[in-house]
Amino acid sequence: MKNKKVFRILIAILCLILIGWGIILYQIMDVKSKADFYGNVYEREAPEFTLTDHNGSRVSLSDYDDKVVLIFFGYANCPDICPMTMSAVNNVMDELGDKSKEVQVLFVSVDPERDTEEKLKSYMNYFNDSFVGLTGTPEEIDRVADDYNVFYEKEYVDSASEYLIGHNSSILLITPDGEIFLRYPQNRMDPASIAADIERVL
Amino acid sequence: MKKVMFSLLMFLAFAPFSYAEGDIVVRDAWVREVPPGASVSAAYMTIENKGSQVDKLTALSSDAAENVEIHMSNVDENGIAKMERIKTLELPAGESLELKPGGMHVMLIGLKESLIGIESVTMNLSFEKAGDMLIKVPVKSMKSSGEVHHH
Repeated sequence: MKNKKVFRILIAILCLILIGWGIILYQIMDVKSKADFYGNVYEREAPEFTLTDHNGSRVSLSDYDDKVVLIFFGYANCPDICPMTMSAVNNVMDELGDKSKEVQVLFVSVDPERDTEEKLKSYMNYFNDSFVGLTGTPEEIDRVADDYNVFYEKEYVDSASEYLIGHNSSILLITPDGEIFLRYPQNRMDPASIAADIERVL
Repeated sequence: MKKVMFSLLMFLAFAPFSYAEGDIVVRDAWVREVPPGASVSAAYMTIENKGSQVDKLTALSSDAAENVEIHMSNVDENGIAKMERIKTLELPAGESLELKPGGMHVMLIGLKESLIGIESVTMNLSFEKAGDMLIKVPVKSMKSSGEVHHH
């Protein structure tokens, strides 16, 4: 009788130890697997937005909830960083081959005054006709940039170009369940490595 | 006129990949093909000063754009890309300066026509000591940069 009780307690302790081990192991493995991603793990809910696409239709982030979304901010008159980012993303799509159909690239203009729908359309189509350029009223762009912690501001450098726009140039990866999962700053734009991350997320 | 035509022909026929004027050598120049309707582009090159004295790149012009300037892209620790204009580019003696994507670049502002389908543009660089240098800058498409490596 007494032995049975001791036995039960021992079993209970053993179970607790096993569960504890399980939790610890799970956390170690989870951390390890996240560290394996090429992008910086970000893990933040992706704020919903509605903007105007380059065909003049109103679109929301939730319209793409069956895809992995790569979103970044820029402007058509940006001569150096934006085209570099665009071609990097285009190379990611090439790397993905058929799987690129499950990826949507969104380019949000931080220059709504100059980036008309037509201008964005030719800009996007030049790189890849599946890319979607988004614009809106300056207030709408402000709100989205703010929601996404994207800083941008006009710079009036002493230059023949009217103004340039300093802006955050990272690419954000949003999972189909609406989480900004990974972030790619300018020094992390190797197309093959980004494609490998996407294949793991899909 | 004949002489001009001749030198133009020579220029086109023997357009080299590097150009030298005085102590200054410019090589590996290229300009980015940009989407139709884009009014700006960027060009890149390596400029070497083989001399023993500092020289300066003081002015640029091109047949392809209204204005040509040197700019510097800086991405700070928060990922914010900002640009700065460099009015006079110092070329230290015996050193090479590489203008490359994501860093220092030649900015073509107010493109006169689309660069799509154009093989090259002409650019004039004015150096304080070495004088003027006329170079041909090939147009490169960035749609697929050739950086894709399959595995």
